[in-house]
Amino acid sequence: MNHFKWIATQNCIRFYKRTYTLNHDISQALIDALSDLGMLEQFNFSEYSPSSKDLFKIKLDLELEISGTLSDTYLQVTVSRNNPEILALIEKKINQWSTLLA
Amino acid sequence: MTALKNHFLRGSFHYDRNAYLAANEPAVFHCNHYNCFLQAVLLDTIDYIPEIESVLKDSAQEVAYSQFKNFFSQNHFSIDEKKEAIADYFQFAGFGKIDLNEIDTNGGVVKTCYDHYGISWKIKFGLSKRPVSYFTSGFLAGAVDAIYSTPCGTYFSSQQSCIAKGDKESLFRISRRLPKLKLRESQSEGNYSIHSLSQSSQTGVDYSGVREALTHMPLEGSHENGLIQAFGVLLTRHYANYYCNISYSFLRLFEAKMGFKGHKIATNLLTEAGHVCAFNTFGGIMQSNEWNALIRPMLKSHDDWIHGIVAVVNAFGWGFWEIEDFIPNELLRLKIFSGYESNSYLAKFGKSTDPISFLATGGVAGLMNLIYVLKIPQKGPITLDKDQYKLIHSSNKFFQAKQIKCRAMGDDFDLIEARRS
Repeated sequence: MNHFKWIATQNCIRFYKRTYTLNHDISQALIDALSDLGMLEQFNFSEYSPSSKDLFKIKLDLELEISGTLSDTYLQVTVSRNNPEILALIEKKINQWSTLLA
Repeated sequence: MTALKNHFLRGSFHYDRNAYLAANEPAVFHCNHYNCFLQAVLLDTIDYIPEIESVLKDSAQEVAYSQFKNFFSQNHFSIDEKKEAIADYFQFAGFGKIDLNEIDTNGGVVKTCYDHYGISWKIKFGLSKRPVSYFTSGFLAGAVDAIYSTPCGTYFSSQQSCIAKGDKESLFRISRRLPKLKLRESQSEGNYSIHSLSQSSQTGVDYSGVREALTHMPLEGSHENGLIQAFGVLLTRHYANYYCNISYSFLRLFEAKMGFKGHKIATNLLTEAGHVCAFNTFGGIMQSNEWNALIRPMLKSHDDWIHGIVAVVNAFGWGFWEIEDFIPNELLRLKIFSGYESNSYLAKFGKSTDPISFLATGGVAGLMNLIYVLKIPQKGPITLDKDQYKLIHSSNKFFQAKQIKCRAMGDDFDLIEARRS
């Protein structure tokens, strides 16, 4: 069973872009699990405006970008069309993380 | 983290004029969609204006030369340090990766697998029949002028292969220009004005917090590819004077060929480029996780989305955007202080008889169309493609904008009003 829903959008010819809505708010544990896939960057927007949340991104060259907001359920994934199998890997990691929380 | 070498150029954000300046050259954030669309609009007129290819290249040469001449005049750098500084800034600004080590006083060859224009064109339009990296080509010629302290225009660059054509790499051949041509230096900061950021009392969007957060975000090209992936687009810290010089040269060439009719056509095309910019850039921002994290928690209503984007624009180096009057779903009247279009125009051409803030005018209309015609706030993620764009114009009453005041005409600020058509 999948612990998420997703919608595909396509703003660029060379990429798959999906927005996932997860069953749980994103936690540091999910970020840690996904950060195996690329370089992690975190942006602490809450330092500048108290109502803002913190953002993270995981990037691998032009092949992959995962971005999400801590304590929110949205996760955006952009993957090169040359590398679609990485989507399955990301979904597996989401399900594993979600199962542990359930 | 390794320390920044002292011969590397970064510049800084000036909060009293909402501008990024690096060695006196103002930089503005724009994305791949605007960069490619504006260039495509200009190139579409090549049958009427064959000079347009030279305009695209020479304008890049002028801004790159002016910036690095300024930067190198402040310190004594070796030739190798100058080359390293230029390659580093090219990457920092999101233009891609270049290596100038094969360049000497006779010119030489620069090859790259990562060039913003080549990659972006292919992503946006598919394969091109001809090379598209006019900016990179001109930038390289201007950079070599600056490295060897020759007058601007001494060198010339021609693109031999292009990523956008399907070539594995883009290749530029730089040589001494024959016959000689003296190009102008850029207008640097132009006629800017000093202002301060104001907080609208009609929204919970924290204008100052958003500007602080975004101006401290490390928006710079990655070490791997020199591209800035942010807000769901490929961003560049582009030269404000490049956009202005290609746009206003285009306007003048059209006027010279076709008189008043040419002025109207060019104005409409440049404003449309601004509208496309808003559709893709603002639309991309509203669907990005930067938006979800930074802005969305501040939004109490769909109308607040207008304030959210205006707050973001105040960190883009476009000057101060300030809402003067806003009637949801009906009217947006927006003031711009120290807008980069007027700053640049005034310095290069002097006072104008007509409004010239084309990007801003198209942008204000585009913003209202995203919120109230496409109704982005009420929708989940959507593909911002031609079909969505057509939906705007197929609507009975989409928003159109008009510039009512213009600093380049002598007013204290630009004033742009968007209403339903």
